[in-house]
Amino acid sequence: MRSEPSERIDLRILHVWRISGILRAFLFGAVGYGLAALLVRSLGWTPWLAWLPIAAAVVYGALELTILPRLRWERWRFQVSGEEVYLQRGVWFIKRTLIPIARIQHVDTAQGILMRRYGLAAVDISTAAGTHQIPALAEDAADELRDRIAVLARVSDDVV
Amino acid sequence: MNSGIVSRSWPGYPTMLSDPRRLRPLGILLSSLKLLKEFFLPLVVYFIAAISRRDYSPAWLLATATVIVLVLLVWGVLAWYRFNYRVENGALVIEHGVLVHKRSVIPRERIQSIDLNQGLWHRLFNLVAVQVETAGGSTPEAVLSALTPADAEALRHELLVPGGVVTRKAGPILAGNVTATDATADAEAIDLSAAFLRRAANSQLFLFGATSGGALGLVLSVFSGAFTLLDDIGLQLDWEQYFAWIWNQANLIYLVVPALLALWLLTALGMVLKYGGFTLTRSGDRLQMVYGLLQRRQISIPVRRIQAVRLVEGVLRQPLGYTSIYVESAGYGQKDREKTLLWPMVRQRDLAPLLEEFLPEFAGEREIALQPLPAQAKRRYILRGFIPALVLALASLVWLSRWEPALALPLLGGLWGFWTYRSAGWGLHDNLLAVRSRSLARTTFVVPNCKVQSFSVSSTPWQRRAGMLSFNLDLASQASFGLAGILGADAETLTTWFKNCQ
Repeated sequence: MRSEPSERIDLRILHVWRISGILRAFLFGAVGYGLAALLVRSLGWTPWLAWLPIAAAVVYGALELTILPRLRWERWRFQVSGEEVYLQRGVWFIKRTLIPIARIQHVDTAQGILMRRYGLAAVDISTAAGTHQIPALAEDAADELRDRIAVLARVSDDVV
Repeated sequence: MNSGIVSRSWPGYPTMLSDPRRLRPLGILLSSLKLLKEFFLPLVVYFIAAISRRDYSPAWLLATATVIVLVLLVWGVLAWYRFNYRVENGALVIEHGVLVHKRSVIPRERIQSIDLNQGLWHRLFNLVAVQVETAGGSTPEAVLSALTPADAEALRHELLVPGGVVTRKAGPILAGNVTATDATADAEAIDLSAAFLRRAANSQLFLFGATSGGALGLVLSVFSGAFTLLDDIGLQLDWEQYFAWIWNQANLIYLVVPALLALWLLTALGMVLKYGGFTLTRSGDRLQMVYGLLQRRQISIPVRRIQAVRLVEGVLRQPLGYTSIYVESAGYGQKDREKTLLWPMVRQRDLAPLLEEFLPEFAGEREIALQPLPAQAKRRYILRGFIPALVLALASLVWLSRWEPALALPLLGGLWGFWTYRSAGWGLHDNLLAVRSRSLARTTFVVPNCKVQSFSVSSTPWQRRAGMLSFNLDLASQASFGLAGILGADAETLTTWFKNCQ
């Protein structure tokens, strides 16, 4: 396919991804341990099997803390032109998506607690088929991009 | 019927829908039944508890039941009394609600489709239920549960035909045939004289039922049920002995085979009941499907709402040369796929003429020459079936310590993978793209480029090493489809096609 989209997302997202990654690893570990312990107890497996999910969660957490966010950020690119929004993402599974401006129904910015702490916002682009997200831009940049896409989308109106 | 509203029974009298109207009195019963349905489970629990009590008295129970029935009926009457509808300033206005009074306004522009249904009660009294659907959500925006067919049709014309003057029309509209309205009075209405109509033969519908996944599934589940039963009564699945035993019990065969056949027949007949009298009509820019022997359904979809056509060749139907046609439509029938059945079964050679007649927008389908996937993709497809099957096989080897499935599963998985590879393909013609793939049934999506909401190309590291890609299309009907294993140049072709929407 053609060349990569030109613009990168905000680097500060790394902090957000690290924190949420750790939290996710904790959750996985806890739930996995619970389930495995239940299985061990009811089926009489060897007890150390229950620690397997914990080990997996630790490995996952370590990856989320170190290289994964960086790789994800390196890959994440976007580009908005008068005709289309062009997105690229994925560490392992690289995915590039084209959304014609004419199909965009509405654009939102969204901000969670963590995102707000780092002054970031996500841009949600909705079509009739679903929502695509540009995960992290500086607040001002996100607002600006949202308005820009909205204007472009209004110009080229299209009916489903 | 004294409904407290001036009744209009003169044929040909123009109905003005601007003053509020009530439903037919059948609406009382239907509201009661609906309430009963909501409280059915607690009521059943209550009655069972009451009967199983020690000091159980039939008189008391009867009294309770009477009170409940009375409450239901009173509720029904109140709900019916409060419910009224009118068309005002080009919007359908409905006021309803017993405890909380609600008023909903559905502007004509937002209405996607107006469907008429007939349940058993409706058929008894020759009434229809009108379902008004809008783009958002999967449940109907409004349901008018009991109208006369003439009123329903009048309402539909009023709402779907801009500025339409409505005339009453004689004859049951849901009898399966589309009666021609007096075209002069209906100047702005849908021109039915230009309509195309086709009706499915019952024999064909029977075949449709007989080859349906439902029938196959039922037979299979009965079979597997029988196997587990035999297992339970101490017959280990020692195949040789098992078959010998079956052979000796010829009586059993005489019992089981006819039972299975009967079940299969019943499922097939069930499908005939459900889809009986299937009629497809195209009038102007609307498609209409009417079907059902007991419960009559009428579905109408504006053609511009149709996002894609899905051609499905079931495992049993493909060898017979039959295809089922479905339509993907936006904001409608998202939950219930079968709702959008356009035509139950058509022979391969009749497919193109049928599309030509009813959906010329998709008739270019016959021009599309499907190209198979490149040879490099073959191994990948086979592995995709083989590897999960291998994992399953290993699991069965470890836990069940049986080697038969361990041997058969990977082989079957690999064969299935090869089968999906052989079935897959895609092709372009003008603005149309056809994508064919198989999980079990062979499915071909036909989609115009302007209906594609977003287009993605993706790759795994292995695919990247082999220079291969996957593509995926998202539609407003929430359908999403694509193919794995195309070449970079093909992705380029598809991107160009996608961006070329006029």
